[in-house]
Amino acid sequence: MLFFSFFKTLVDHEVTIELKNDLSIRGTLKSVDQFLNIKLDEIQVVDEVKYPHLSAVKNVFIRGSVVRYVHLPANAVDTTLLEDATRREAAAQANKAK
Amino acid sequence: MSFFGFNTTLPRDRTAHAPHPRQAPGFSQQRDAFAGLSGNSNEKADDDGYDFEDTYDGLGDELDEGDDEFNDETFGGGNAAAPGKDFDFFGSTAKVANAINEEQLLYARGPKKPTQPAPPSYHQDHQPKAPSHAAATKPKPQPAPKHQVPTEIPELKPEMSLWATTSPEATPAKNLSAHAAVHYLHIENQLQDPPPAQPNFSQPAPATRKYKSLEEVEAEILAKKQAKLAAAQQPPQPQLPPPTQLNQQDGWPGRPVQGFPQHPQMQMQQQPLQQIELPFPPRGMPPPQQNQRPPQTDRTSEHPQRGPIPQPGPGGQLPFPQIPTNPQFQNNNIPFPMGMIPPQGPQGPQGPQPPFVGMPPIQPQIMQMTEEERVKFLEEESKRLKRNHKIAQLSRYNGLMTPSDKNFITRIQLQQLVSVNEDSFNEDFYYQVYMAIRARNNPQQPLDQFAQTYLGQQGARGGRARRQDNHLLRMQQQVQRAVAAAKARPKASQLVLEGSLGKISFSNVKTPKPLLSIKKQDSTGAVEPGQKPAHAFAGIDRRSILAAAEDIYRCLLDLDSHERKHPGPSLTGQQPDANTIQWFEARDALIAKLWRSLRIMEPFKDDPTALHPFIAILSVKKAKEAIPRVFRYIDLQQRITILTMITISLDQVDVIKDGRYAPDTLSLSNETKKKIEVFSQNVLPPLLSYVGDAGLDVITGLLGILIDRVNVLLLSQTQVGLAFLTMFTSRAEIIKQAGQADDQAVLKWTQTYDRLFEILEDHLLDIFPPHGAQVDDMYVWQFLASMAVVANMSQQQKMVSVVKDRVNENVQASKTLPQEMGQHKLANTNLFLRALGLDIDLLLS
Amino acid sequence: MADTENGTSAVAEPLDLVRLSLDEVVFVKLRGDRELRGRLHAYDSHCNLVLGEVEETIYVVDEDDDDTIRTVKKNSEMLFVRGDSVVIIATTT
Repeated sequence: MLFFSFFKTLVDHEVTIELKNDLSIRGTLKSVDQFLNIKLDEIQVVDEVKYPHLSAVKNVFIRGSVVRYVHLPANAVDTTLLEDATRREAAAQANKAK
Repeated sequence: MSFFGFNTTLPRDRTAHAPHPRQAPGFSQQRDAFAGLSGNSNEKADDDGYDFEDTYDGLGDELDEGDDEFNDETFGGGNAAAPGKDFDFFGSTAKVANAINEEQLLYARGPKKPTQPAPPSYHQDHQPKAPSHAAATKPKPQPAPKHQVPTEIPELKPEMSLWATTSPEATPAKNLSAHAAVHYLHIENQLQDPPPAQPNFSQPAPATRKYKSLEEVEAEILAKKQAKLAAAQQPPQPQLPPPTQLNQQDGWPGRPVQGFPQHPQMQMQQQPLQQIELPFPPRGMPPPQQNQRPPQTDRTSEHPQRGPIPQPGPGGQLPFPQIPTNPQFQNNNIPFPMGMIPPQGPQGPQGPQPPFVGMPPIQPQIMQMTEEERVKFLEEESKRLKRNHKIAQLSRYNGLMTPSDKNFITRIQLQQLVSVNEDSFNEDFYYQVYMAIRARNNPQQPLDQFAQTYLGQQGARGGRARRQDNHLLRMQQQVQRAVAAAKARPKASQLVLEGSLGKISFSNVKTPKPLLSIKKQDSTGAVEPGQKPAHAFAGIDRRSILAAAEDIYRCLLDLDSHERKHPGPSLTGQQPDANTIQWFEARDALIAKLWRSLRIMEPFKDDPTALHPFIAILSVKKAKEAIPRVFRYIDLQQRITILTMITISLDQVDVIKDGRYAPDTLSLSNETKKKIEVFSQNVLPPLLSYVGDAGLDVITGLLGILIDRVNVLLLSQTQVGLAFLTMFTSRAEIIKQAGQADDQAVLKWTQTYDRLFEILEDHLLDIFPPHGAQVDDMYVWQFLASMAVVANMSQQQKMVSVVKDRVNENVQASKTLPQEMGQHKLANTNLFLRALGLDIDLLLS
Repeated sequence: MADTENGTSAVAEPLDLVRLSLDEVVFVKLRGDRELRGRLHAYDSHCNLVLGEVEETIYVVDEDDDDTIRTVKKNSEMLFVRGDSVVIIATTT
């Protein structure tokens, strides 16, 4: 649940999602679920010339599994906290495995 | 057993305590109704007051015996043993007898008292008797010592509600409150002792009482009834007798054990109508009575059979009359319900017995009641019965768990609750803490442990430069304080300094630079050899270092979590409770573990090139970042240990080792810059704050260590090294100015400072970053200022003469730079000048 | 939560190795001929990652030019990487 928790803090921030089919969509992160499915508002395809078919689309739901990257605003990420959260998650996993 | 509520108890039985049980239609008796049909002669033998032939109306011949094969299926148990005599209720109930008694008492006291005055007496009697009862029941030698009935009781309770409705009809028994009570007793007796056991009643005393009382009561009732008739109804009077009976009943502690909390209540309410209910209370009707059921199918036939067999004496009188005399029952459909509800069959038997006996008297009472009264009464009764029934159901398991059992379970539940919360928090750790920090910006809401931890980091995230400034600012403040303190006590003749300054401004021909640059090369050459190989962490590989750093974090996270469990602020003057003590002990253990994870107490290796583990670990970024968090937990002694360790190994710390400008380069590598930044942001501040509180002897000692063990020249050419020197000198000056140190300490400090100055005096220009480097040289001026403040006259002059070119350079450069940057450069320079008692304005003018 | 008994960061499972690289620069090889180099800020058991100051290298076969391989480099200040693309996570230096 680490990344779910993480993405929740990024709601209403602008992100760029790069899909595995090389399509890149920039938009405002509206919501995310535990599968890291993502809802974007006010989207804009980064290379609109190459991918014109989404020009008329204003918002999208992206299935988590087709995502390759999500480019994030660095100033919205507390890296120290994130690293500690990761350590906690790792420890929890290790405990579960026991 | 009487199916329709006759009192099947024979007169003979009533008088004779012991024998009674048998004939008395035990609810659990299997023989009763069918005993005659089946040829069971056991009971008959005793039936002296009852002649089957006399009473037999021939209806039994019409019985359709054909479908009886399913009776067992329907009513359970095909044989006499089926009722389940082997339940060890006695054994198990005896264990909790006390608890049950208590509960019953409580229960009885609560609601009942208000209804009647009698209850108190009941309680009184009951309590003392209870023990005796227990004793009596236990020793029972009888074949069926176990209370089988109890098991069945729960099943019967549901019927209570039915009875509630019927109770009104049962009213005939009104007057017979006493009778009812008696019946009740009988029933109970029977319940307790399975039919066969009845004769063996181990509780003869109570039994005798009952019977006596029954007769007496009957007599009384009759008398009273007459009296009532004469003088209208006087409920209280009839009640009086019952109490006595009640007491007797109370004498039977066994009942409570059976789980009939209702009994006491019912008994208590001995108003005529209420009494009726009592008898009915299905308790008496253990399902075991299989025989009774068949009769249900054909009631008419039943009655004859039943009445006669179980109740030879009274039965004879009652049985027949019952049907006719119980117009109420019939009218009320009581009989029908009973017959219609085979499983509830028990009702029939119970109800019949008591009411019927007393029926004749009862009816009159009911009749006497007005219609309104009756309705009201019925309503109340039904309400009460419903409530009792509910309570009985709920209280079925009363006393099964001891308080400690309950506590135990509560603890488990709470634990789960807590752990669940903890888990969910961990799952959502990032979000929770992030949002907590976010929220902080607006309201002054208090932050929890975690948010506090990461508060500082957020500043770093917001902007590194800002954080850096913050650190430098603190250093600046310390230096400024030192300078201010020095100015307050003028020691230098302005003339001399002005002269030197003037000299600089007037003649810039002579520069010590060439000399310095030569020496600089020397120094670098001397240091370099040892420097390079140190890159490899002798004795500790990178992965171990990373693992060690992670260990530190694990300890920190454990501590953070533990901190969160803080039992809460203990009031001063209050003795901490066990929890708090335990918490602190656990905390101490965690801190000790954290301390070990730093590996700072490990001895130095013989190999001089080998890094101390702590210093090696400190080379990792995250380890540097952990230092301020570590400082939050460790004590003063541990802090000074860290400071000392870093000081001793300062020239091996990566930010210093790599922090010098290589010859002919204008900047450090990006990696090194980052390291310096991280070090300055994370390691220096806690050290600085510690030094800010340290005494002069500590400062002197630390500076002495630096001079003795560390290449100070090397230090002076790095930003972090200068920061350490600045830290020490400025603090020392502050202490000295504040007069917080004795002469001895001051003298020692001065000597140490002199040694430092000697080392550095010819290399003061080397401490500057190379010309053209795009760096803020603020830290250099800070250092010079702190040195100047401490320096004596001649030392100050020396400094001025060496640095004057740089001063002029800065002044000139500030004029060409943008306003802001120029001001910054001037401010930096001025800090130094002010330390000398001068001011930049002198140069600018 | 880390259990308090087991204080040592023994590398018990593969991802423990990754944990050691938290806040360090790592090299990540991805499907589709991509490589990343960046500071590791987060990971989970699916190898989802968050990297900071990332440099991405994409290897592209240039069919026009005799099938030579050229590289495309991109930078991102903060990047979430979906775990199902990850092939290798390696520590650097």
